[in-house]
Amino acid sequence: MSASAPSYHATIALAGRPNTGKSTLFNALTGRNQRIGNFAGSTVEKASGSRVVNGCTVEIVDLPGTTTPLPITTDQKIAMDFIDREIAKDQTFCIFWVAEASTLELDLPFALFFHRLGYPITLIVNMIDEAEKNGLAIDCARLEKDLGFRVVASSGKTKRGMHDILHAIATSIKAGQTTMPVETISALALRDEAHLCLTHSEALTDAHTIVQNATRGRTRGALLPIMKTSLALDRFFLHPVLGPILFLVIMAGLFQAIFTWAAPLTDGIEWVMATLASAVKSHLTNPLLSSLVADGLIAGLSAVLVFVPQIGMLFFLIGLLEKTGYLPRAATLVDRLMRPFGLDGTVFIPLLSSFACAIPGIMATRTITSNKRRLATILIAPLMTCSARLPVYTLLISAFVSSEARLLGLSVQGLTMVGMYALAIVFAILVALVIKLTPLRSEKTGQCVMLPPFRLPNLKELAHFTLQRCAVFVFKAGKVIFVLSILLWILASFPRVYTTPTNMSLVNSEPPPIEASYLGHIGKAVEPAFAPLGYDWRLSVGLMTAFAAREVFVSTLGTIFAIDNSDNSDSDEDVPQSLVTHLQTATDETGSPLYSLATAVSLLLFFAIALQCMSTVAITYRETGGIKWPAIQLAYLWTFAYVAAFLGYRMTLWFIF
Amino acid sequence: MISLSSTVLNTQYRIVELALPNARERLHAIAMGLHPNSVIQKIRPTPFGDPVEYLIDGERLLAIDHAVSAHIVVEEVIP
Repeated sequence: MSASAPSYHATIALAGRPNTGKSTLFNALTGRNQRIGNFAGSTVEKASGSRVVNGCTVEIVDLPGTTTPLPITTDQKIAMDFIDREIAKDQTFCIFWVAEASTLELDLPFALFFHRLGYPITLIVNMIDEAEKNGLAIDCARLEKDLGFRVVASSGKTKRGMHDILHAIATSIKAGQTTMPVETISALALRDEAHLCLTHSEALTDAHTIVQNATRGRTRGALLPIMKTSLALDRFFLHPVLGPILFLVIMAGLFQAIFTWAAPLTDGIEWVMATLASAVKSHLTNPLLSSLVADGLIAGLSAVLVFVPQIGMLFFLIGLLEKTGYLPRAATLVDRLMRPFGLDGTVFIPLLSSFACAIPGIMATRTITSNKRRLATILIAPLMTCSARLPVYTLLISAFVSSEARLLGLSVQGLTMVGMYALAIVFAILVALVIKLTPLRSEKTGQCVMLPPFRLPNLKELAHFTLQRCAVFVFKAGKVIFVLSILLWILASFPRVYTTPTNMSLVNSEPPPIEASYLGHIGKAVEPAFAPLGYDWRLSVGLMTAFAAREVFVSTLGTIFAIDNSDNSDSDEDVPQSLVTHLQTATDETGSPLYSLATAVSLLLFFAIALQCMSTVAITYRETGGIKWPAIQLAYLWTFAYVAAFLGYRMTLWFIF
Repeated sequence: MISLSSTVLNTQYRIVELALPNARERLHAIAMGLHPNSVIQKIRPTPFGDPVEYLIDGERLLAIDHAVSAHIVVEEVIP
């Protein structure tokens, strides 16, 4: 990717409606692999590549899917802003409008509209092979004559027409510097929405005549062969009884895959990182350097990498559902159920993604048309049970819920875990209902969503897309987690000069006991704030460190309780058993148990709600463009978590005694 | 002429007017392929009743909420 590469002779923007094959065309032109999705607005980030045409280096940009000239969604705004920014530059720029050959009448008005405003435009009649299979014959020469701008037929999948597209790019370069349009699309949209609508409608009428004159092979309204399969499949997927059953089966399979299939890979990464840390500790003689590399750098890297299998699995499977065409149908299926809570089907994909990780979930909100609903979804997304919560839940449930307890023949430990997932949905509903009472309540707008035809996905492209998304996660979110992990190491490893209980100052090359470290001091300082929830300074420190990433809570407690890693090296469990024992048997100065079931209930509630993820805060900041929304998100989730944990703690104490 | 929401299943209608309340909604409907003169056919309601799946010009499927379809004026296509 080289969007900021210094010396391009020209820029070509691939624009158009979602699902017209823009990304496949982009891959074919640049040799890079990019996402192709079936869900409206699936290309949520600007992707650019380069190609040398007649000795000139051309930047080719794959713009997010655009359905109207109005910047209704963030994605569409990104596309329009890019076009207007590039057109103002002192270099060659051309929009290559990608239209789906089988539904040309749907895509042509927009291209015509841009042309009439004065934008340089070329029409790519893509998926021409599919149109031919549908019995359509499109006369591109006639189209070009009637439209007054270049028209090229192509197929990104079979790379047909690539030579003609390159020739069109060469012609654009030859034409030289781009002239400014009469009025930019952004200025027009700001000035007069109604006028824009009218102008677009005129383009629509003209486009209809032009398409009719250039297309042979079918009469208007006749069923396209590709739609027959979709209509047959929809009989099952949107069936009143079978539809919801299939939906539940597919979702259950998705979660099963994320949490089961990814587990061996996660375990493998943990093993590699632990082996690496041991090797560093045995080879580096300087204790400070050894600790920095093993406990700081490698631990930080590990905290990032352990998420990759689950995130990769999630993106692969969601991508698979998108590309087959099922996901928009799933969203329409749940739409009606979400309305009483002020939400709708558009929030389904972001919330589903948030069950693995809130970061891709929040990024996926860009396709939501209502800005208020988008903000509401961003506020709710961190409540979904992400994968980072699982180690914490497993530790607490293992320590405080009996493994032998049964309810109706089912393990109470397992039921508690399922209950935590259900609780997340209940909390999300509660928050959505509260949001309905605030100015964030979305105006009631009807939805009109395109259901793309069912298509067989290209697994190779999907695999490349998954790897690309994982790389984005490692480099973007990973940076935050990594830096914070190093910071926590510093706080836990210093000062090297500290006072012992006998009041002697020691200067030591070894790290201080956690109690004497800066982190310990911070824990003691915040302990009174968490005392009403039943937490001592150790748990308070755990909560503080868990702000980097929730699962850090487990490793922090491990450090505090001075767990010997060799103790659990043989364990098959996800949680070190010695830590479970420590939590069960820890006592205070009077010999009373330090933690109880009430503490566990309080912690489970706190972790289910509180926003303890720096990366989520960072992504909310980036997506909302300011400090206001991440601050609101952080404040409300922590307040809600505190109150729920307090009530949970007190009620459990009352119930037990 | 009737509203799209009150049409019957598997019968072809022609879109006469998009009487949506504002320009933005009208433009969005047009962009989704709800063009005047397009042939539209109600296929099936989604499992919980709303939105409803429609086939437009035999070439694209849309899920349209009642709140939108109530504002689309159509007339039956007489074969």
